[in-house]
Amino acid sequence: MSLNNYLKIAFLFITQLVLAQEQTTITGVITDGTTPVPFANIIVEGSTNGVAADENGSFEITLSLEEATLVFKAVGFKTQRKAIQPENFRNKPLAIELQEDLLGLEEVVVSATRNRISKKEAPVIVKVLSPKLFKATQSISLADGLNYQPGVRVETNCQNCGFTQVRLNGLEGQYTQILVNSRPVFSALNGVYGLEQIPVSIIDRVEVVRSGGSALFGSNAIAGTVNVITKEPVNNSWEVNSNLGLIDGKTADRTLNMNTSIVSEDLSTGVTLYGMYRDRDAFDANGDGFSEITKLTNHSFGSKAFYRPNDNSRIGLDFTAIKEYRRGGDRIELAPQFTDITEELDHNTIFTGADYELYNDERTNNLSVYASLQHTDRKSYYGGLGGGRTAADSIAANNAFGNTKDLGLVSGAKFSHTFKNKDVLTSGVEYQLNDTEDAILGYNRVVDQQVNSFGLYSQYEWKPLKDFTTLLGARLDHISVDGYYTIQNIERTSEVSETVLSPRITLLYDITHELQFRGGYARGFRAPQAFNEDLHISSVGGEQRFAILSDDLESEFSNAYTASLNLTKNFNKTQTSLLVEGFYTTLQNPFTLVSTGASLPNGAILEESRNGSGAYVAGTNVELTVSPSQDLYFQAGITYQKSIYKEDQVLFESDGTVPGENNVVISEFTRAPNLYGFFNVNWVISEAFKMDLAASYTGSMIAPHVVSDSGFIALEETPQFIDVTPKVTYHFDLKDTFHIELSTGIQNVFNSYQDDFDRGPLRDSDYIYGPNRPRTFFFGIRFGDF
Amino acid sequence: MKQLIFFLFLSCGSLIAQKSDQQINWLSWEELEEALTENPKKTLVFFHADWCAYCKKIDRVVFTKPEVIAKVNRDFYAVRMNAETTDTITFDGKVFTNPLAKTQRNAVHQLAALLGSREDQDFSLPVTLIFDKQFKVKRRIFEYYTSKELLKYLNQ
Repeated sequence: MSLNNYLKIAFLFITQLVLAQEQTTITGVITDGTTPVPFANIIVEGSTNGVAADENGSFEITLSLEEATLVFKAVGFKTQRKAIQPENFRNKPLAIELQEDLLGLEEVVVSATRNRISKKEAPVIVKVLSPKLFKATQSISLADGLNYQPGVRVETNCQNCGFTQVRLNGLEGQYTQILVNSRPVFSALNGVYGLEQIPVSIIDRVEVVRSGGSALFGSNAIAGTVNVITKEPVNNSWEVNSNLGLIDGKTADRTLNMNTSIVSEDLSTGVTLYGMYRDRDAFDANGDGFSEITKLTNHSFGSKAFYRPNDNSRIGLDFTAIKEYRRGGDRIELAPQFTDITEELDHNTIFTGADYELYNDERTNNLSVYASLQHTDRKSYYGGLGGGRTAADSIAANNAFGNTKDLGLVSGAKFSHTFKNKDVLTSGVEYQLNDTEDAILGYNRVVDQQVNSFGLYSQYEWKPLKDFTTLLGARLDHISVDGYYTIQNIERTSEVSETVLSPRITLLYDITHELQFRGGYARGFRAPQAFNEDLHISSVGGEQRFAILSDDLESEFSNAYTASLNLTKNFNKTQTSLLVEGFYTTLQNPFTLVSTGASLPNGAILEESRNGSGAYVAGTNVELTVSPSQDLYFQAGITYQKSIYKEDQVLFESDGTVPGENNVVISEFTRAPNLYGFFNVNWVISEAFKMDLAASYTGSMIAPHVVSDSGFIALEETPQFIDVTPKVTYHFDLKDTFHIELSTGIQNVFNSYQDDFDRGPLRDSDYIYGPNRPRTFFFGIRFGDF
Repeated sequence: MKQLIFFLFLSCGSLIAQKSDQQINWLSWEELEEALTENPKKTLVFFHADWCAYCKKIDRVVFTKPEVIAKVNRDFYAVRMNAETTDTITFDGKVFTNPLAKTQRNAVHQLAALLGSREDQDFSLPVTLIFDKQFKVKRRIFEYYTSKELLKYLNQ
């Protein structure tokens, strides 16, 4: 039996000739510039006519005499289209040169339209953060890895409790919606510390959508969304991972992570179990006995299970429990009431969720139904003696214990239908409940808030032309807020019942196959309520600083516009991608914290959340990716932006009693640098060795700094920072089912860190900016069957 | 002591024997060609790649089942090939290489592309082929299967 005979049989399988009147047969050859590309598929666009090239890249196709567009597809190459007049190629072969696809442009993403879609076809720009990047930066939690995207910056806001938030395009954390598997499971309270509570080991990828255009995910997603997608296992696997970091060479940060997956042979059932333990000592940068980085002990474990009754349906169940303890201030070994300043938080959180997905046989209809529940029980201590030693100080310190209960519920259903012409209609409903009760009796502080929101959304993905896609959608939200807030002698309420329509439109136009234009408009709004930052208490002048909603707070509206050009081009074997994006977001009645100084009866500072003057953020994100070879990958991004109040905004309101202290007004956002960016290189030296270099740049910004007992603030201009992390990884296999990976490196190798922290018990604990850790040496070991 | 060493030898020996029993007897393409000329049999060909999670699952779960091993070793010649290998393979007087590997990631070897390509879809893994005694394709499978499903295909 000869193989050559067999080859013919194989080709009968994979070629199909279509007969029509007035035909001509043309021949051609497909190469990558130098060598032939075998077995590419050649299809006549808009028809079922197609053939496959042979192993030498040669093909023969029969066409009718009209002009035809041929589509060339081969694994690992970019799809190429070429319009030809068949008669021109009667006597000469058609030469086709395909370009490799090294940049992963064909990756699949979820965030853009809530359906799986190739990244290149998504009308909204979706940036994907892969586990590779988290590894390159030795990230332990989500908070550490997010800096390496244009327009994204993670900052620490408190020396006492380590409250972190992610800023997209310069807007504060509350303008960003954090999703887990496309669902908004984070409540206002979780948003305070939640970014540090998601272990990296369970993350498959993180999808970041900047600016508007993603309003389908919620009316509060004004700056954008951060969508954490967890892993979906196929194989049985296990992994143990441990890391030791030495902050400034002395303060230990120890982590142990493990996860394992079991999936049945028929893939119909499976479970992933994961756990993390982290113990970080408090770090004191300036030797004053007060922490700059909080002590943190975190135990998390959880499971995700799935069951597929048949090929077209899937039931998922997940549970996660997080117990997290954090404490900052001084004399961490003592009970909090015997210290000058302590912020101590003991979180017990449980997340649970269930989801069901159903498809029809043709996969044109998809229904998904989901519900998730989150409950947090938090014990807090925000207080201390504040530098005094009187009986009154002691009584106050003993009364600073608090309790918080937080309940979050999300449930919804989504249906999508793909029409014969590939248009897609997606509609859904979503209900969210968030009930927060936070009480510190010693300060007569209460936050008792219930937010109910009911949303209806619909979106049509319309492809009227081959090169043009547009998403037309809208979201109708009904929000009711029932809030009661007190602090000492001040009492506020929020009663809102409001229905708002948020339209959305985005479009994608392929100018050429290398150059794409995207544009979008989205409207968003937020109803008056206490957000994460309003639940956070910090200290200054030995007293606490509280935030409360002002009377008659009105809803905040925003309009976000984006436009971008994306150029992907090859220079010989070097592949490049350049993205230039402009964004412009206007805010109407933005919720702004205004300090009223030490206006509370006990001398504590009160900040009020008020409707600020109108504002806008406008700027440009530029991102360049270059891959000169398979082993080298280079990425850099920079953001230049302005964040401007249309009228000067009061940040500190003076009561006029202290001479020389007047209102402090500002024309631009605080804590929002005009220039920031990142850079990273991954280099695979050999199969065993890998090197990574990651850097982030934070430009100068304005940071408010409380400089007097009255709460008066100075506006300080911060220096710029470059945080560089080199890392080497060595990989070897003991067996094909047992891998070991050793890694070491230095985070913030140039020790680019804030050097003007306040000192002692009277310090302003919010006066912290720049990179979130000084030079840190780290050593990691990872082993398992992964 | 001597007894212990003797016992160890014995158990090592039996382990090795056991191991060869518990594995599919994979042939190279060259060995397959020789075997086919000497004693024609049905053939099973399996293409995989390092990154392919479903291939790994088949390798670890399906190809390790005693009933699959017994069936394949009794009635089939079996070839398991990394679709992205850069080896030069000679089969039936023809030389197959992986010229694309010089210039791209995850380049598919000529032989794998020849047998595993489909008309209107991109090359995807895993790919499994079942040939009859005349080395004619009886079935091409482009997805994951359980041991039960594989046995069904093999018995057809």
